[in-house]
Amino acid sequence: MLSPRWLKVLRDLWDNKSRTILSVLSIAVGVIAFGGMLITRETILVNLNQAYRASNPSDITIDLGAYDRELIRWVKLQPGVQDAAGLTIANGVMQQPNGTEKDITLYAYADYESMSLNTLKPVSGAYPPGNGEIAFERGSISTTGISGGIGGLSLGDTIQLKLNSDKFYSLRYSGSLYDVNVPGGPAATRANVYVTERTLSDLGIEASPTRLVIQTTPGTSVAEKYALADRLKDELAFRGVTVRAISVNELNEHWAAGTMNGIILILVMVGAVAMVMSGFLIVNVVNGLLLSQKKIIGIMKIVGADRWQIFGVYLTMMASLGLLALVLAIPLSNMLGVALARVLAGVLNFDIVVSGFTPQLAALEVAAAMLVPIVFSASPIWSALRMPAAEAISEVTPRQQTSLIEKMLARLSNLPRTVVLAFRSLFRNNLRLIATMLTLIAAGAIFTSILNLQQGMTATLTRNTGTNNANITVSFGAAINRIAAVNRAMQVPGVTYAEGWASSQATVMRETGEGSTLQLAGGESNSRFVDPPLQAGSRWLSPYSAATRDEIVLTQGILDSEPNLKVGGTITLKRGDETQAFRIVGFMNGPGSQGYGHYETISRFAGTPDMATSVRVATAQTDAAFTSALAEQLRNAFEDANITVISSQDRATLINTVITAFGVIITLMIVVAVLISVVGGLGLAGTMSLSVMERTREVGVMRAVGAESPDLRFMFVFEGLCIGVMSALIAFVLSWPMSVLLGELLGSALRQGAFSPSLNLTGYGLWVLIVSGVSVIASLSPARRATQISIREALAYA
Amino acid sequence: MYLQDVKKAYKTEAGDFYALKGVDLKIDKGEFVGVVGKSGSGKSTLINMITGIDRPSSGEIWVNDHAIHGLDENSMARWRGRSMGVVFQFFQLLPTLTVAENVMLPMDFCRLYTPKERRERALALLERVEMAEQANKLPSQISGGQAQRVAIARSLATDPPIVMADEPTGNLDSKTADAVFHLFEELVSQGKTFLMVTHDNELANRLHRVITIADGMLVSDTKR
Repeated sequence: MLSPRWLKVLRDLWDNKSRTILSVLSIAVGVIAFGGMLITRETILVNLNQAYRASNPSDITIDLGAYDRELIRWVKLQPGVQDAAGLTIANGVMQQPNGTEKDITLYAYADYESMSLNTLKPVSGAYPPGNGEIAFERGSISTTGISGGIGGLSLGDTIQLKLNSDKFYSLRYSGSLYDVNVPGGPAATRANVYVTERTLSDLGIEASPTRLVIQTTPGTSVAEKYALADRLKDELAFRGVTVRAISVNELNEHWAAGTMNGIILILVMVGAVAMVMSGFLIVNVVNGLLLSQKKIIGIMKIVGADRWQIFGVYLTMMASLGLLALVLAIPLSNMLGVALARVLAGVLNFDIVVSGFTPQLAALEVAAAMLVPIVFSASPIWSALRMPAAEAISEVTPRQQTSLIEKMLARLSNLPRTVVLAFRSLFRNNLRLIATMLTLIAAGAIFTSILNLQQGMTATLTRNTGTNNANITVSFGAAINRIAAVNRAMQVPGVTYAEGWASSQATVMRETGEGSTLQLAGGESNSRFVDPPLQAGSRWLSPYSAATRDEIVLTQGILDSEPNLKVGGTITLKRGDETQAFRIVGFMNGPGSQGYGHYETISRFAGTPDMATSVRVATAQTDAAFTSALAEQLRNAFEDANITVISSQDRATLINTVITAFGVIITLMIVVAVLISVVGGLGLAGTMSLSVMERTREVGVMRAVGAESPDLRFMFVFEGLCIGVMSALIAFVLSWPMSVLLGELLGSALRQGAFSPSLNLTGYGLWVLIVSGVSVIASLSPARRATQISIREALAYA
Repeated sequence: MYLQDVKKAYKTEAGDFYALKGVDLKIDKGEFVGVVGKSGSGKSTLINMITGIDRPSSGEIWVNDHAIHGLDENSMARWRGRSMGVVFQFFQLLPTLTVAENVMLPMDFCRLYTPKERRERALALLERVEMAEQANKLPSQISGGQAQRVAIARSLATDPPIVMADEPTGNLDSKTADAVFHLFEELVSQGKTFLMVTHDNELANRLHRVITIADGMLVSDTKR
């Protein structure tokens, strides 16, 4: 049989059900937010890895000039190589059902049936595509209407596409498949399509492989992978095959794993914040509990309980509330976690097959549900137990000092008394007021910051794509005369200015040999289209001269593979047999390995002096509708002159696509902010219940002197509303620094450089409405309780 | 029980208010002592000092060779639980515990007896105050007189040598008050030391010794 003190714990929980429910909800909300985010993380990692591993992924990719298939057999025999395969990749354009053109990357495999590396999975229609047929990567077609994917396709449709020439070919849309290894999904700008090698040669492309994918033997270290890649490269060069680019998947992870980790880290942090916020609710609840049990604590002391024993009684009660909260938290956190994971998986084109809810996460939720109430209630309980027993059981409330606010309110004789009483009650317990407002402040600050970041997203992307501000960029299959290219672009109506750019791929030379691959671009030093986000200590290229011709500016992403580079140092680049040293004058924010040099230098280094591989143009109007139409006209203008266009991309459309993807993250974070505001609302409801309880006698007196129910209701709802509005005002003050901080966090997580916020006044207005609504709703029930107090009951209350 | 120059001051906005202004008192084992005085004279404060429920501002209190004024809060609670039973005017039973559980509570906190013995002892004590039949009722289900009997049973739970009662009959009708008083007399006859604050002059006249307090000072000490 339980001893009386534990029976008391159980009966207290049972007898005051509304308090128990409020406490359980408060704890559960925090655990759901935190646990949910952890489950999202685990679910994504488990499913991403599962899908990735199931495809038997390669970890070294080598892009080559066309090579003989015999080479694959030879590569497979090399030490350190587990398996190897070849495929052909070509770029092209297809006509979408809506009449516009879409850039495509076309993959051709010799044999779909016996693929062993980077395997594909059939999704719909026939698999594999037959000759004269085309299959789409499922992420490239839109079935849900998510922006970015090609919509309106039906199996059996005829797809018009062209590759190197301006001639359109017709292929039959035979089905869709899943390729976990290609960057794609609704947010990608290029569609991924699949054909047979035979189809490819019918399209006018030589059907010999251009990409070699290799899987190293299990247990190969990163250094060994690079060594193997280097060795293969030399051997391939010796065999007369041109090596264009090599990439090594160092960590053997899915292409989106890094980005995903960043986003998830932020979500987990926000979840942890929500849990801490729920802790503040516990403080409110426990203060209410202690207030109502003041006398009982006194009695327990008198009959011989020491402070530790009573402390144990109340801590056990809080821990029991935590256990009860788990009944809600465990299933709901799992639901939230998996639902969030599905949203993210949808954007990045993978499936959620299993939940990542593990026994370890369950244990963590149990620990959180028990510890949060214990940690947050320990201090209020301990200090409440400090009250001497005589005072605890006393029927007389000790007189309190008149506060400054009360004295000030006493002078405001013009205000209605209910308003004055509400104000006075507001500041009655400042610590509780702060605890209640903290959650609402946090929710308000997060909400408005996120909307500030969303507002600033366009500016951020504009800045992050600062290395190419051109409204449209047209890239050619091969370098063409630069002046002719610029002139041709300028002849298209709507184009106001054009620049010809050179480009090349190069290999970074290390002291020990060849290193990573770098994309080089060369333009005028005073190009209109370059305004990159330079890092501290960096500068842009000086005007071209004999002394400055070897200058180069690099993206910071290169430091991942070449960490020794620094401003003022040199970088030696190799293209074919040529090597050239460049002087690093700056680093700019941005992912990947890219270098910017003078047009003259880069075009010569690329072996195409006075020629351009792309034209960047400024347009008369900059809206997406105008620029996307003009991009088509530019493509046609060049193709009319028999110039192969690989892509003609307008920036506005590109940015819109990216904004859609970021929109998902923004939406997720708004959901989190709203969740926190729910926590805040619960806290406010708790505080208002306490306020009603403390003022029972006051309510009785007011009733006795003629106050009616609407007066009482107004008094409490007004008090709640004041708390909400005050929290919003403080949140607004914190909002800007928080926007900057969140921008930096998001930016570094997504390796984009900090996102710049921009003041979103609508967001602030919206928050005032939300928080007012939450406050009124939270106060209504306590206010109604106040109106139900009878005079007799109120005046008997001690 | 020995009190020497015990003072108690309360801080107010108007300055210190002295509820006790230097009380000297000695009570021997087995005495049945009444404390009388007007409302606000300091009677309850005096009881609170002796039970250790409140602390003196200055002075010394010795009970059974224990310096009560020098004990810290936890030691005080433990000492009080085993050495002193307390009965209040408003009974002060825990509303969520049954009558028997209320009586078991001091034994639980003082870690006396086994759980089984605690229940048996609680029932025996309730039997003694004629409340055994109500053992499984909640305090809200019994009358004031019955509640005071339960409170008395609780005050005896740990078999303390001293029982303090602060207006134990103040909330009872005269018949019930008489019955409760008889119970006290019986306890004294069994060797307990009893100190009782009362307003009831009739009861006070039946006590061995009556101490009168006025304005925080001991003004008379009458033994019969």
